[in-house]
Amino acid sequence: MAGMDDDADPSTTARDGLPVHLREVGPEDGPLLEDLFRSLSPQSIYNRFLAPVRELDGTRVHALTHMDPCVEFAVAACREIDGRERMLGVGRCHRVGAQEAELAIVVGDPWQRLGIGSLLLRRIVHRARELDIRWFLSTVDPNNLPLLRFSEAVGFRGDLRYHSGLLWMRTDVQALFPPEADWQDRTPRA
Amino acid sequence: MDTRPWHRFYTEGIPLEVSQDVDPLPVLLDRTATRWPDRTATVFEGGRMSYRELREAADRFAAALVSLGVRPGDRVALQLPNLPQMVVAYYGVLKAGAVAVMTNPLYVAREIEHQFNDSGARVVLTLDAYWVKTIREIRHRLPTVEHIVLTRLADGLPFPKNLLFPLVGKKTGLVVTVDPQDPVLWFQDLLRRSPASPPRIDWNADMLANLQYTGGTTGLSKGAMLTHRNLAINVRQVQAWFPGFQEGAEIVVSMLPFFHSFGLTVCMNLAVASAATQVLVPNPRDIPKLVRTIGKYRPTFLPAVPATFNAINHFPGIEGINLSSIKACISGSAPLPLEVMERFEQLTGGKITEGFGLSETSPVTHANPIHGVRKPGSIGIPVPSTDAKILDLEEGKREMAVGEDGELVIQGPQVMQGYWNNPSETEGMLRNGWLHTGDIARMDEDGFFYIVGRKKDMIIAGGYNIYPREIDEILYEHPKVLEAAAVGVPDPRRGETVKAFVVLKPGETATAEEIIDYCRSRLAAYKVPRMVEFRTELPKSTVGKVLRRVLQEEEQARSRAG
Repeated sequence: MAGMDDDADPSTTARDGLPVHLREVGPEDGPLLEDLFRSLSPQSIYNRFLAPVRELDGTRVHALTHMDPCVEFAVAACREIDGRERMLGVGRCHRVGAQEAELAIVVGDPWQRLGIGSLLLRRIVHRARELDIRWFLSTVDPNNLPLLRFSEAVGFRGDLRYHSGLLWMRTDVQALFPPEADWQDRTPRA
Repeated sequence: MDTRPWHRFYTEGIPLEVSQDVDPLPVLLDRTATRWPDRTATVFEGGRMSYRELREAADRFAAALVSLGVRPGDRVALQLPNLPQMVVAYYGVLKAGAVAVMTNPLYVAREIEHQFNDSGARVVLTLDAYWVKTIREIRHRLPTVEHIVLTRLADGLPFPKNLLFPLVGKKTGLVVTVDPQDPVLWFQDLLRRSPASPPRIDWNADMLANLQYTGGTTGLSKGAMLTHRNLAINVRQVQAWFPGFQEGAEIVVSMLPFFHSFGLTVCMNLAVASAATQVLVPNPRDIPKLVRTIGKYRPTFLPAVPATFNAINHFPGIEGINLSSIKACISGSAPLPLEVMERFEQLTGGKITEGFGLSETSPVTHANPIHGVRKPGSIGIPVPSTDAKILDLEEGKREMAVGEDGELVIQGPQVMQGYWNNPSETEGMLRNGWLHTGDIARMDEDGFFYIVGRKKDMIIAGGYNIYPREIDEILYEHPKVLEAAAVGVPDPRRGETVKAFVVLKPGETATAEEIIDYCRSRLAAYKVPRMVEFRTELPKSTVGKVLRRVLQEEEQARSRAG
């Protein structure tokens, strides 16, 4: 397992052997984010937004790229493809309590199963620990079995409950990525 | 812990187990037709068909299907209301060794297209009216369908109603003219020109009999694969539950639609296996006619949904109608209010048992004992040869204690083989030999089960399962809609009904009627939102996930406030 220093390294490699650059999402990332949205299958969109969103309207793009640094941060996994930067996936963490933050990760369909989700989650976990975030909260479609398997593989420990057809997960940040976990072989979809 | 505490509540005559040695469904028809050839199999608008005639017609249709190239295992879609032709066709399909794809007549083009294409149906039997109004326009998008066979509603009517129907039936919307050039075959022609000699099938009870389509959480319906064994055993389990049921002596009102597993098993297949007479009622919402039918044919068995029992209870002058022939009823699809049950039993002298099941379980898994302990609010106890338990909601591995909530899981010979061409959905539903229902339930110390909620995001309206995502998908297709979410809201008649929350794109205007009309052209009627509320935004979590729960809670609070 890589150490914390590795987690902070912005340049890393995906399972396809090609480089991935991890960086913070900023206000200028609207076009890249819209590009990423267009790479998502309807199922991936549903898993991310819990709605069959057809387009990212301006309001939503603004909300996803203009973070309030006091309460939220977002990490993008990027790669240069055909001479221009592409966003392969993005992870987002928004503080909702003293030690709690809502978490969401999405990876474009062409780049799923390459370990991109794991890279994003590792980076988010690293930042969250620095910010004294103890719990990740996420709302998940119970049919999103790949995500549930991934959660188990990266060491999910916490609370699960069903409400209104959704799974509400509260994950202990400290428990994620235990040394023995075979997490590198799994990729989340949301 | 006693793993089957419910067994001590089985009343006299109900076996703990039913024999697993069953014949395929066509053998049940042949046996009944041999023993009871002259007994009336179906009554429809005064016209009668005996079991001898039913068998002969089913044999002819099976031979016709073979002549059209249908081979064992091929899928044949049946999209008909409860008409005599449906009974003939269903058994004809099975006698050809084919798989019946039961299709809701209320479906609109988009839903039909998915179901026929997903099942790979080679032949479709439907009403001429459905062809003209819906299927003709999507015919070119049904690549697997080689033949469309049509029947007229009048084909099931006795003389002279069949001749008069084109004149008197206009207001039903079911009188249409089919272009003679249309590439269709006619059911009556096929029966006339085919011999009453079905193919010789190397029968095996584990052959697939039905694809029973049921709503999907992903917005697309999926086909539960039911074998002859699944369906025949479920008939046997229901027969066992009614020890007073006499072969060749019962009269069943078949008002539950045959395309739904409840009507398929508890009306059609149970009647055929028991040599009962079925009084066919294609439109149970016509309560005056239903009451007249009950008064005229003196049925002994009445499977229905709570809304129908309630409507009969409140029919003007019902006290003056002799309903004493009714011995037993089975109620399903929605909770049966105690006052509805008591009033109906008082009126008829018969007993209602509340049952439970799913399309995936053929469908019956639970019922309250008809003559023993019945617990209001409970779905009852598992029927013979059926196991049920409550597992923890989170991982589905730990068995919950008596009285604790968890997911209801079921095991038994009536449980489906999986979903057609859908291993991922199958994997989620069938685990370690148990069917995970998605219903949150608890079991009391006597082994009675109670449904307390749903793990799945689902609305149950008028007995139909509706997945909000399917409605959301349609709403998002509307060119003026930016965001939308459908939720179930309490409804005194339907249990729940659908309400849509809609956010329009900037600068757009729309009316509720416009949104509802849009849905009506793309969704079966029971799924169409009855109410639309426009909002400037939908509630979302901090990372932008739509929170349907918040809308539901608002509606529940509004309902409580009256």
